[in-house]
Amino acid sequence: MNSFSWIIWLIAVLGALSATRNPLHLILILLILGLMTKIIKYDRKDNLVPISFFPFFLLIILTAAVFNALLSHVGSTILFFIPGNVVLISGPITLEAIVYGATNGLILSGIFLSFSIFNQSLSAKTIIRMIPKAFYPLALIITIAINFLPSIRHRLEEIRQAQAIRGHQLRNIGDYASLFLPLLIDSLERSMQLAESMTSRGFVPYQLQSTTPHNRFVIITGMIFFIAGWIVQLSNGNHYAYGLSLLGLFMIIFWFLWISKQIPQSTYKREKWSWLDVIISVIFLSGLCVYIIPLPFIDHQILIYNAYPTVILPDFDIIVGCVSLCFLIPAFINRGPAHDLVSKR
Amino acid sequence: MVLYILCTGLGIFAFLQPFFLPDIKQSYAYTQIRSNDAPWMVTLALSLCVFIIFYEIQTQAVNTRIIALMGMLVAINSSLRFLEVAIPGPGGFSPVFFLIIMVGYVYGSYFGFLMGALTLFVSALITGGVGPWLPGQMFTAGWVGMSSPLIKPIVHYLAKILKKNEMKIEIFFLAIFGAIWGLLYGAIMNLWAWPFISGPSNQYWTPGISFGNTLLRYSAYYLITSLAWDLCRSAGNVLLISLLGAPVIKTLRRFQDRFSFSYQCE
Repeated sequence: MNSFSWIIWLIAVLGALSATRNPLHLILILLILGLMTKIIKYDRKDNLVPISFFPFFLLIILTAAVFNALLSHVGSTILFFIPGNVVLISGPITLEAIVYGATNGLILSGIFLSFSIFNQSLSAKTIIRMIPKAFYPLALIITIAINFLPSIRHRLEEIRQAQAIRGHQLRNIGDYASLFLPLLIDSLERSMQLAESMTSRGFVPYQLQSTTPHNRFVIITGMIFFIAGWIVQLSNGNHYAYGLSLLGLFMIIFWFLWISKQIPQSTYKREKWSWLDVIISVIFLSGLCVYIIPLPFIDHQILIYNAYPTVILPDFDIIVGCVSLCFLIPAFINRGPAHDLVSKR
Repeated sequence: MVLYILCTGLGIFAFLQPFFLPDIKQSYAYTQIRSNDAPWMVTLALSLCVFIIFYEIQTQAVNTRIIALMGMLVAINSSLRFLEVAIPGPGGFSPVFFLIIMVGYVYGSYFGFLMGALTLFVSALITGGVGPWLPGQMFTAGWVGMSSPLIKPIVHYLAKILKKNEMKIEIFFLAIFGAIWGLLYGAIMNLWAWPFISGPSNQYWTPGISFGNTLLRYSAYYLITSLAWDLCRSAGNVLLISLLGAPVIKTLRRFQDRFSFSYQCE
């Protein structure tokens, strides 16, 4: 699956998780994500999260529920009292607080799981490749850092062994100076050599255009729109004010894209963007729209579930539930290292 | 300069907006929805600020030597973060802030911002830590590096007045600086999640209460959940700066001279 389709998938899942507090819908999304981790074939071979998901999420949900129950004593269904005058803790323990905390735990687990899938599915190099051309010096710094990481770890081990041969022992934190300083000096020397070899091979960084008054006007206006929309939304809760923020955001994004167009860059390999990627991206966005846009055939009140003041059994919207299944698509599309790059011809 | 001020202002507003909200009349139903979308707006605002500051810095100071030097320093610091993830230290102890502070202090605020923000980004890439919390971490770590040159005038002034070894004064103030940022980093990063985990309790963020009350609630929350954790980070920064600060500053200064030469073709 194309990396931009992955980003759209991530946005759609995060949007769905933000748009609902209904525990049944959250559990469904969590189950879909959990199922994905079982059947998807990741691009990255290194296991970034060496933990078992189910016990981990159970722990998050339980911790959030207990934490909220101990600190939030609001709700009508009192289960028991914690006696005494312990600050924050003493008081009634309510079922509503437990459900509210567990709902927070479900949302946090969903966010964590969706990012875990995203991180595992895209390699670091693929993410770097997505950095806009306007930021290519930064992308170069990041590429250098990532490529030199293994050699730095290797060098650290060499220094440790050399110091050990000299009889140096690592007893306290001060002893680590004899490892860190040679590593720092060696790395700085290597950066000098790297700079010289880059220059000798003809690398000259493209001089990025400084922000002219005209460009600066666009970016400042964009930021003012963004802040203004946000403040208006915060002040009266009108979600349409986000439109102003979005306008500002798009102004800045288009400005960066326009700058990117000015920078000449040769592309050796380009990622595939097929019709299938377009279709599934549209499906993900449609799934997100069902969650966030008021549609006549969907009762959004079911999604805005609140445990307070008295807990009730949440309803389940079958249409939203079916639509949520679209988030499972990458599990069937992503077959092994999918970011196969093709030479630009 | 206008863009830096605007971005910093937007970043501060993004983190501190729960404190400004009490002055605004809001409904209960709105509060419930808001607790879901607030972190995303904060993430979006901070991403925007980080990108704009990155671009501004790029246009002012980019050459081959800076790219290579920065790449290597970020690699060293990211390996330290990698070690920290593999072998967790006590509480919030993290060795990454040491080098961010040192680099920012010696090479200046632009370099310090890049060092802080890129270290967090690269280490997130290699440890699988990319998430909505990342822009906040990048921005705050960038602030750590960006603000460290601020103590230079104090050091120069005191060295002149007291007629003492400047290095000792530097290390003393950098240690204090590291201690403050150790606590501040945790306090700022908590703000990203605080409105998100809020419930209608007396101890959490609820729109509609006064500024003082919000501050009191946040202080209570911070004292209970984070202070002990952040004190470990703070003590770790002090320890590392006290033990390794002087030789690292000397090394970075030596290379600063070597990296600052330029040649012109005829």
